[in-house]
Amino acid sequence: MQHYTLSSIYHIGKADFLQRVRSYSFLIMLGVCVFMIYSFVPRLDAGYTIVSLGNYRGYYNAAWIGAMVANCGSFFALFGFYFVNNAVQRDVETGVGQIIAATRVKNLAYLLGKYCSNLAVLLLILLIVAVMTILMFGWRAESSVLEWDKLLLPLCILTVPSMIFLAGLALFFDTISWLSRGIMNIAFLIIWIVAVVNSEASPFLDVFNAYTVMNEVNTAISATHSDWNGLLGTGILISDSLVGVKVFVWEGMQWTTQLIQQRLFLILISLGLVLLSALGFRRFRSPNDKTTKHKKRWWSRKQNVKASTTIERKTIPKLSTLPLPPVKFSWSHLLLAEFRLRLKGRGKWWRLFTGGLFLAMIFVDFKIGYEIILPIMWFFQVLVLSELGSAVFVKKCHHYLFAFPDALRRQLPSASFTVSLFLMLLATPILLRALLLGNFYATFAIFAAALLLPAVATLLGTLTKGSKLFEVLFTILTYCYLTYVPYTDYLGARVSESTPGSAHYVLGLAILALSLAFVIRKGQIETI
Amino acid sequence: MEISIKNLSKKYKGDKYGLKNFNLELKNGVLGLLGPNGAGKSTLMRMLATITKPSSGQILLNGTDITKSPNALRKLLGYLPQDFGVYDNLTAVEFLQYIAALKGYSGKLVNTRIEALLEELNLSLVRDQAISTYSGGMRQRVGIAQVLLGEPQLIILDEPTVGLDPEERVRFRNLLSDLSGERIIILSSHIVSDIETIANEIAIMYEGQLLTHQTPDIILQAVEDRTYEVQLTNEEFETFKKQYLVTNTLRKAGGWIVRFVLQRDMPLPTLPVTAVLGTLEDAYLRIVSAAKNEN
Repeated sequence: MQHYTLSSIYHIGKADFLQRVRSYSFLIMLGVCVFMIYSFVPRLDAGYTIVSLGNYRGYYNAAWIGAMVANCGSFFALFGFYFVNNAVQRDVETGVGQIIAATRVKNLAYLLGKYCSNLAVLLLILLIVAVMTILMFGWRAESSVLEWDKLLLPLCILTVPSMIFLAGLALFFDTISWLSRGIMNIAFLIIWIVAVVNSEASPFLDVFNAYTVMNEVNTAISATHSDWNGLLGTGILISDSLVGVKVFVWEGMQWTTQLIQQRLFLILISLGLVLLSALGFRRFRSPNDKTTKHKKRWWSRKQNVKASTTIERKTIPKLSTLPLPPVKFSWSHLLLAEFRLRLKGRGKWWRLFTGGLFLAMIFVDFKIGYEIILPIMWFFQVLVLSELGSAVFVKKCHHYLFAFPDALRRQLPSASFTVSLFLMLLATPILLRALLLGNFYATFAIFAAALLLPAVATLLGTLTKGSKLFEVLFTILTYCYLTYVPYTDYLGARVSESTPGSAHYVLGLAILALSLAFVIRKGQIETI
Repeated sequence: MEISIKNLSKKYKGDKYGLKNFNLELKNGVLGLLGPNGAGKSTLMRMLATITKPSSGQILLNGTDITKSPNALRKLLGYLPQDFGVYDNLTAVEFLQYIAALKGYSGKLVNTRIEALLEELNLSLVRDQAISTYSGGMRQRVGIAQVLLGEPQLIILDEPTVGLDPEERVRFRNLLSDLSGERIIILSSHIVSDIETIANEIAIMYEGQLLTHQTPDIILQAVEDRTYEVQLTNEEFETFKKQYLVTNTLRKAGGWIVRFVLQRDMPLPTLPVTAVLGTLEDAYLRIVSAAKNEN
């Protein structure tokens, strides 16, 4: 490879990497990582566990702590993807892509640079995870023997290849010009769930490392402890204190050649995805350039003729002769304009999918509609939500919108409330059915959730000036909710005698989030 | 309306000043701001638009300090920043309706006004197309339209003619002339001719300080009887431009026609020169060059 090409790859990767890591959202992401690792190695009396062994518990030695952290690799993959899935798209949005397209940089070199950047970001996250793992050993370990290989090799051999695969997959999605971000997010979530759920079927399917560690633990404990009750579970599992429970001392992973080959295979697939991306990469040309050029021109002509005819028919008065419109602020006008702003330009797939789910909520069983379809439908609105609070910065409108009268009082609440109304509108079938069934709690809970999501989106968007953090957190929340993780029933759909509803907390959280967003935006308006 | 800027400073990290002890009195009319990059024009405009707080000093609008009550000014303000964006999924009409709603304008007159604005800014034909399909100049005109939506009493335009073709620039200048009356218009531009044709007062800034604030006629006096043209060979030109303030050049076969301004106490070259009428651009370059030499 020529020196020029290598240099291009290096500089493209470096610039992209620095652009990403020099952002508040990256710092917050690292903070989330640190919190996750801290939570994934809980105290024995924490009241929950990440890896449950039924009538046994794992002895906190280097191998066990390393395994627990590596076992959570699938979570890192979930939010890692959302953090690196726009390396190419950002160049389209900023216009840098057009500059690069006009240089002699080859598609493959450009994409390799972006791939390296994806990889560097993901590996940096893993580095923080590794440091936290060592710290957690210091805080939580019952064994005083620090075996570095047992503590860190699971992360290096199992999680690193997953991240390499992820870097390639994110790039591949990123280069499909017709794939909207909304569809991409959903597609990845589906791939992730399918891979995690089917990880037991074949080790080759365990790309996100959800099963390999647990399989080894299962084999080891079955072989050495005949009185083990066979209950093995992972996730955030509520448990009594584990102090006094029988102890299983695990000696760590058996690194077989087959296992190493499986992980190396992921790296190969990742590189294959980069090559595939280069083949399909259109080098920042519009997707309409070739196929629909004629059609578009015809359509444009027709529209122009229509517009000009309208203008000829009616006489437009000169601006200087017109009286001023009355200054009378109207919330209804603003909400209507906000509605248009939030929903205009969404693709036909978005309309189709949203419409389909809306209809489904009318006809399916109330419980299914409320508990499953509604959260999926709301999750599908992730891009509508994640723009709240951040679009004004992303679109560079803050320079003048913040200079409008009562900017703080009008803009932030109107945008958040519009999306709340929209979410409630989408939930109409369930809301009406709940009312007909006399389930007033459900009505209140949906109302509270419809306020919460836009409020949190507004807060995170305002705080980070970007949409990523909310997208990641909402994805994790939806996944946790759908997999029955405790305390994530933000919709109040699983209320029973044993699990009382928490809609009033949700409402309180919404008010708190919006208030915080308000305070942050006030500061932004004053100090921009 | 009167705006009084008193001892205004904006200090950045590392003891760098965007603006330093700046004083200016503004009355109804068009003020053109000129200055090299980094002179503090945008900083001044952002502070006037209430989106940047000064480190010290006051901006008084009819006696009210706008840093303390920014809403007093925001109700009267139309602001076009240098680097602005739009919600490009919307059409121009939809975007302006959104802006009108945010600014608090309602009623049928809003739509009539939007139509008139689009017509004046030559956007009527594309009124129903998403802004994402617009050229750079068309987007700039959408930005200008949002400024003029409510007929503001204070209009601040930071580089408004960037991206406009010559025809559109003329159209914009005419529109601004129509609007200039009982209001203050402040505009900055690197295209001196734009300022020259619209502004009735000019302020020249350099390194965060005000060099001069005068009418164009008075500023032009700086180059009265001091502007010349001379024909030079390539070799002569290299030496000449090190000694004299060259304000324009025109390439000719075998050499250059060079326009230059005599700095203070500088003798005329021994070469045959022709006296020409000084322009605002000559005056601006001379004033800024003098400030640079002083520093």
